[in-house]
Amino acid sequence: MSSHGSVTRCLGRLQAGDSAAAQQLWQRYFARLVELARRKLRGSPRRAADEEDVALSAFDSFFRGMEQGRFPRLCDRDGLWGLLATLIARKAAHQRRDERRLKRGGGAAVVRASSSDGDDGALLDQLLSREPTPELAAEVAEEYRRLLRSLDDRVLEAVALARMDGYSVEEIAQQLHCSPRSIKRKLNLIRGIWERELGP
Amino acid sequence: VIESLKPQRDSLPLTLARRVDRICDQFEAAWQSGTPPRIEDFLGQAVDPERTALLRELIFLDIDYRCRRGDSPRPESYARFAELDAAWLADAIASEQAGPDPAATIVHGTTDTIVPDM
Repeated sequence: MSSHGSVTRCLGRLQAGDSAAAQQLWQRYFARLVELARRKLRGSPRRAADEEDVALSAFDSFFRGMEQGRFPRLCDRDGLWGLLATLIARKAAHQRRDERRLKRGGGAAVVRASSSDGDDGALLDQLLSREPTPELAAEVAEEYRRLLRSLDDRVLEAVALARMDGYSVEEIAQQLHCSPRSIKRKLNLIRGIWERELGP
Repeated sequence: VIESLKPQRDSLPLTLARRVDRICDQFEAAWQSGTPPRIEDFLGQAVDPERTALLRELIFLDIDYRCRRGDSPRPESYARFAELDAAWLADAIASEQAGPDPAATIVHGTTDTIVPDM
């Protein structure tokens, strides 16, 4: 799909310091990241603005990481989405953790020094405090590619990629010259396949 | 989204869902070739739960393509499929004739880190 190439080009321009490329990526991904953040924060008491804060923070980390050359192997749409989604998951986890601290300590941070107290939460906090490494980004991207391969059908793959790029059912149907009903059916099938791949 | 039209993915094993998808693709290709296909010709020897799922998907497509050529499908058009739930059929016709589902135009993110929301 043509958008694949455009994201790859955007990443190249961003790595070369082109701020317009950053704007393009922002426009392409921000709404999706807010939606993802909303899901990650589900069940958490929050203001409506929180999910946007999480998405903003994730984008900020991404752009800073790019400026510092921390993701040298990030070169395509698959890797980018995996990286952004990882950042969102971590920022949302931070937010939930901070809310728990506020509840317990009225704003004072509760710091667990190490995992030696037998609380796995400390180790989790340490992990969550790190930004994604290139290795983790590559790992996530590989998992993403594995899921696409599991579809074992070029049309299903095209539908999944288009949906993740933010295209609506109607738009995908137009691109593939078929009924929107067919796209809904295929999306349903894709979700079933991926749920099985990822297990309970 | 009308409740009765929500996908019933859980009731159909993936192998059957893939087969339903392929048969529906063939049905749609037949429509696009210019000659309205007969739903019965695509049901084959399918048995439930595959048959019901396949029949419903074929009817959805049939309604869509008939609407595109200016027809106004009515429940009577599918009365020969006695196993169809009347309420479901009425909803299906109303839904397809109403045009795009507003919910389907929302840009979604993912349900999990890397699993897109469909």
